[in-house]
Amino acid sequence: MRTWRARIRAVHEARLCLALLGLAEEHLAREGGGRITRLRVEVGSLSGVSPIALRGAFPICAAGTAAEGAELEIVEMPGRELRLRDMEVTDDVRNLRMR
Amino acid sequence: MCGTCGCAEGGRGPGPVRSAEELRRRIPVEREILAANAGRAEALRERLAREGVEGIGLLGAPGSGKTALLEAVLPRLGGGDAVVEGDCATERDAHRIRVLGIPAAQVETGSLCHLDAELVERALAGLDLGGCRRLWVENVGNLVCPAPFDCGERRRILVLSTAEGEEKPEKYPAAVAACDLVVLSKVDLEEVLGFDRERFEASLRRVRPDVPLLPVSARSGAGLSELRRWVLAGGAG
Repeated sequence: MRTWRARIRAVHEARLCLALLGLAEEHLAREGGGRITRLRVEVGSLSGVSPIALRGAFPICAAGTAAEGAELEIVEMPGRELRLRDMEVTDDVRNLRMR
Repeated sequence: MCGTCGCAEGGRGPGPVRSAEELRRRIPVEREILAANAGRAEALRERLAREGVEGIGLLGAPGSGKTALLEAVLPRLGGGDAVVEGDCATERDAHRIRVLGIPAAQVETGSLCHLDAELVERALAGLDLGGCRRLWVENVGNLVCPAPFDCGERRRILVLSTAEGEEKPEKYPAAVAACDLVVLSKVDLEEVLGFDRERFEASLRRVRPDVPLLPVSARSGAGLSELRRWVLAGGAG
């Protein structure tokens, strides 16, 4: 019950999550690939985005992407901004070798 | 899942903790998350401008009177209008516009709560913009989700009805922040609702001291000539 309710509420945040992950993966590819361990996102109070719903949608959307299991840090600020400030990346090749 | 044994979340396999720490690096991005939609919306706005068309967005709660406002004001504009209607289901709103002899395309979003530039672009494929000067984009009835999504419109109208109460602007500041005009609709109901217009205006001014406000009734026709003037003034917004 709780799960589907949370999912329905998170409809537009899920879409934002997909946009966020697309942007992150684009930058990751430009930097030579790897795995994303942490994303820092600025969410404006007038951006129309709910940090709670964004947080809820993130792990579902990130599954199967380079950001699977990554930590999502949300910096709440005034204004309408919705930005990906930076991200932390770890080398994929080394990880694979360790496994 | 942990990726090692397939156990549920929380169960962690032996991870390459130390080497990951060593290899971890920070990549600065500093980009708008909705940059892809914003870019698409900008391209749509430019395309419309080249064709001599201005996009005008309509935002408001379900039942706030967005379609009724279009039905009332479009016949007074002297032609050159086309409409994209967004709803979760049915072609009803597009039909209401088409019976006026005005071209309309319906976007049925399913469970999606807002329109975006791509959906509007796709809807335009089924719409003949020849001789069109204004493209109205009536968003899905919703005061929350559509606010951050640019749909390629040049100006946006927010419709708040008297039936929704006086404090709507302060309760939904993101929608108020993202518009060029606020239409207070259904003012013919003010008396029966006991609507206090001063309280409404005070609430609006606390969020946006500068945005123009037009009280309108699609039923009685009050305020429609002022709305017509605002629409035709174009760049003034």
